[in-house]
Amino acid sequence: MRSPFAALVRRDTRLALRLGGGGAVGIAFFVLAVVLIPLGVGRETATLARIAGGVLWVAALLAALLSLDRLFQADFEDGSLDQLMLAPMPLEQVVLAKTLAHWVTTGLPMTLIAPVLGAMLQLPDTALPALGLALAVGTPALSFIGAIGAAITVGVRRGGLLLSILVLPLYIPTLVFGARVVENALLGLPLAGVLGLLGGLTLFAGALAPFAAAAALRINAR
Amino acid sequence: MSIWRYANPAAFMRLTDPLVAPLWVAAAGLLGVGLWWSLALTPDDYQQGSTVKILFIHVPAAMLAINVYAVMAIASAVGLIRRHHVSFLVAKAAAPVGAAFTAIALITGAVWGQPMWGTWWVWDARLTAVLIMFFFYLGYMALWAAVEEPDKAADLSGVLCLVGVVFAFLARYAVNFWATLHQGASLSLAEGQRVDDAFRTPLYLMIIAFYLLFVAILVVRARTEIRARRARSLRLQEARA
Amino acid sequence: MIEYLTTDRHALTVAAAYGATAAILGWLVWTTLSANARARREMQDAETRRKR
Repeated sequence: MRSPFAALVRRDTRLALRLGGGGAVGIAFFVLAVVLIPLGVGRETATLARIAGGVLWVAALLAALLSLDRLFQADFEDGSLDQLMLAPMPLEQVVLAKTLAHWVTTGLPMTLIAPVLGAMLQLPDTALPALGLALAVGTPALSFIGAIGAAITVGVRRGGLLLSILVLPLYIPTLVFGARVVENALLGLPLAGVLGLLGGLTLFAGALAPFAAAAALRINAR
Repeated sequence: MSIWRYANPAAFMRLTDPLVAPLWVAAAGLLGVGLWWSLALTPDDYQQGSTVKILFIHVPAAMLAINVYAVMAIASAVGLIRRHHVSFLVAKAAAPVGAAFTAIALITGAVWGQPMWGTWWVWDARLTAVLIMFFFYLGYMALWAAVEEPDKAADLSGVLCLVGVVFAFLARYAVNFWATLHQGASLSLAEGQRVDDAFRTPLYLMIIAFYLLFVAILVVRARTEIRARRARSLRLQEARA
Repeated sequence: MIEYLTTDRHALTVAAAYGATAAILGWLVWTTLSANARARREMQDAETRRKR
């Protein structure tokens, strides 16, 4: 695929995997955060299984949050973003490409490793596929929604904390629906409805984010 | 550097100048009447005792918490679409007021909860949604404060507010959804419970009073923002001259 | 009202709720009015300086 879109996705993915602070560290944070929970809460099986879904989702939120500032910040600072804005590809498409690359280096690895972590948190085997599915469907929403926040705060010096307080409330619907999928699986309730809600949320975020983030980037580039 | 169009802000100042005093008088008057009626003339509830009187501030505050955000969203949309700078300043002016009403709703809800359920906080659907709303307000105010250039701050806050209003709706829905599985205590007041006729009039009075108070404060704050903006641009002109 | 405050068992709760509300609204109104006064003063200063 030689399209400029694919090229941008490849570029961002490669950059994220190359830089020390990119994908690997994000996953390490995710795993570490989850490991802390039993140490803090206790190792009783029933308790851990009960909270596993929520814990994994909160950890995923935080890990996604921490990796957001590399979405636009580095390019903003060294002028690459201005270059991208001048390119024939519409800025909305640029945002989409970069967000996709972000998901490939954060959401996707988290989805893949989540079943292992879920088992460690004493989730029964029957719930693990639901966990993976929930994260697969919901983590793109984290990247999309996060992109909006990252675009808005890209010009703010040391805007990481500000980014957090802007984005975390926006993450709440994703968290609620995502955790509910796992909980339904645990309780033997049907998953289709909640997964549908979660999927709808991701699609909506995917439709909204390129426009909102591009608008914010244009404002910041003035 | 943006052109500072004096026309619109001046028109706003002219329009609102005769409104300020009457608004304060009306708000204060209605608040006084409403408070007296709520406290002195209503009966105690059979189960809740006199704590039911907290209803008269909790409900109006909660209503305003949401409505102020709607005002901010509309003002932000107008600002972004029509490039009408005063709109952004109205949104900026409204935010602390909305945050204050949200805090009041939270605190009165919590204080009411203590004698009712023996706990300071209840993860009830409505209280949780209001808590989330509070963070939307704080984030909006933080963004205005963090971006140095006023024009950029205005536009970015506008975008944030519009994105926020969508997610505020989603969050409200999500919290209701979340609350249905986890059967906990829920504030069974005005919503499900039939509001006794004796309570209805003072409640409406207090709601209107709170709205008037909001408008009075908003108008003054908006005028303050406009003045501050003008003073700043005059100072900048001076510095360059 | 004194009778209410001393006899009713929920008086503290109700007083706390109304008191907190009054405090928050009072503070809000106070900062609104004082910020407005200050902005008006500063704008007048800037305008008189400009006219000179």
